[in-house]
Amino acid sequence: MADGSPMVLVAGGLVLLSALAYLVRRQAGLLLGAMGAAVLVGALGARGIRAGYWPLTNQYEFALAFALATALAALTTAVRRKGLSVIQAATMLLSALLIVLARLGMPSFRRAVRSLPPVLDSAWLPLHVGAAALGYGALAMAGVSGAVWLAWRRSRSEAENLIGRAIAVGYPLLTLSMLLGMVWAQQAWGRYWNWDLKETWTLITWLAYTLYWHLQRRPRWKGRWMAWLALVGLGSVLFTLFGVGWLARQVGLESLHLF
Amino acid sequence: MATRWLRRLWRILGSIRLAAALLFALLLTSVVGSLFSQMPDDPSVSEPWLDAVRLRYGPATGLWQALGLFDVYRSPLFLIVLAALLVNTLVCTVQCTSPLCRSLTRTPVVIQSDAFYQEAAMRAEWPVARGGDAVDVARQSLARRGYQVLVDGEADCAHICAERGKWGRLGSPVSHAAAVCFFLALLARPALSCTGHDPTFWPAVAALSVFLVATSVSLWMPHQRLWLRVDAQRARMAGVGDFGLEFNRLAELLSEMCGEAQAGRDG
Repeated sequence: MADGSPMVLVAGGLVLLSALAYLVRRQAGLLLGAMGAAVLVGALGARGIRAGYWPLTNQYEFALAFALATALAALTTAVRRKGLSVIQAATMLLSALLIVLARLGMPSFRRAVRSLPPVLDSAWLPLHVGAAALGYGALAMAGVSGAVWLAWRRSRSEAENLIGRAIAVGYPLLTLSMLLGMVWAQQAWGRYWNWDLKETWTLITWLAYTLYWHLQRRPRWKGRWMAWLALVGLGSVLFTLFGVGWLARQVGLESLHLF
Repeated sequence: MATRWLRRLWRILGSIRLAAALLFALLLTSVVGSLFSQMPDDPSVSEPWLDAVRLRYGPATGLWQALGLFDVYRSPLFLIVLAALLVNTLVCTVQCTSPLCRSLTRTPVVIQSDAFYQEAAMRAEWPVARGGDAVDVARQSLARRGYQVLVDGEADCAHICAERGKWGRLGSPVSHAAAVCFFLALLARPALSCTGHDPTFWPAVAALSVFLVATSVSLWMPHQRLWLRVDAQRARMAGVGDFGLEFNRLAELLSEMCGEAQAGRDG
């Protein structure tokens, strides 16, 4: 109980309900989503208090932080009445899926509160990982907007606008996370860039969004291609989070970032 | 003839199309590199390292090594793509700087022709109900939204040019220049760094910090310039820059204040 696990399930349920509620009434979705986000903050806070460190140290904790940032991205656009309810609903659904995947899809030993590895005992942890989680949340919203653009013919200009705005938030945060990670890596390992799997896939994600900024200025590439790029970017974000460990195991590679 | 070819080459070298192709090539090469173990920097341990990976890759080890897949990020292909991206970024920055300086220092043309309003990528038109009042209403409304407004013309036909995010345009060339410095630091790193000391670290951090600030400025202070022509019967609006949906919203707002909306946007 003290590590906040049941609260995670409650948060997942509330966020899932908010995804459905958005389709009926925006205010109901907003209220349930805000409650879900608040419970998730409480769950992460309880875990952090019990562990004695920022709960951003392993895949389980980062997945929850990513889900929280994704929900916050949907809530922010809903409060400012930007974008479409269907995008906010789909973003909340992705957030709920992340929570469920983290809580029910990961074995208990990976969810357990453990002693902090020495390399993570650093003031850079909340800054580097926090920036990455917030950036991923915004980029997730862009990817969902891209999917909605491709699947739904109505209000495409609003979806396209939201893709651009979400990436305009997520891309600088991703760059900030890389910058802070470079400084931390130099302190921890004596090298600011190691071509480590996680670093390489973060670079791949960053290159995908850099490509987006270059192509979105060209009229021929607006619309469908931008929606696809936002979706590919989200795929790269999800692979960096969940796929790198799998790839490391499949190919037999080591990564300094797998905790 | 030679000058024409040189000009064409110069244009291609700084083009967004080439930048996109090189970014895509860098992305693909990075994906390929992530699929294979990469050889350590220290050449003295490369033989024992190869013996160790031979256990994992078996008979294909020789083939992967011959193809350079164990050393992707130091391979000629990767370095050529990185160097080409550096040249492209540098040329693009030089190409943008001169027109940008002119644009920043010169007062924009306020009075535009009919053809300009008809052919603008973003345009709107609505009937005017309030005559001369409409110009004042539009000017005040645009100024409230942070636009710098210039007015010209006669009493029966007024012209407005409004601009926002003028200095945000500097974000793009500055971020490109910072990216060049960052690439240079990355390219120089293998030659300059030795155990425990890497002279490229702080230049790389400084370059990425400048890139971050300049990119954020260019993304969040997009340059927008619009022209408005108001006569006794109708108002016409045209815009250039990164408006998103704002152009249509602005057209709707102004038309509500001055008349009935017939806003539209192409491209």
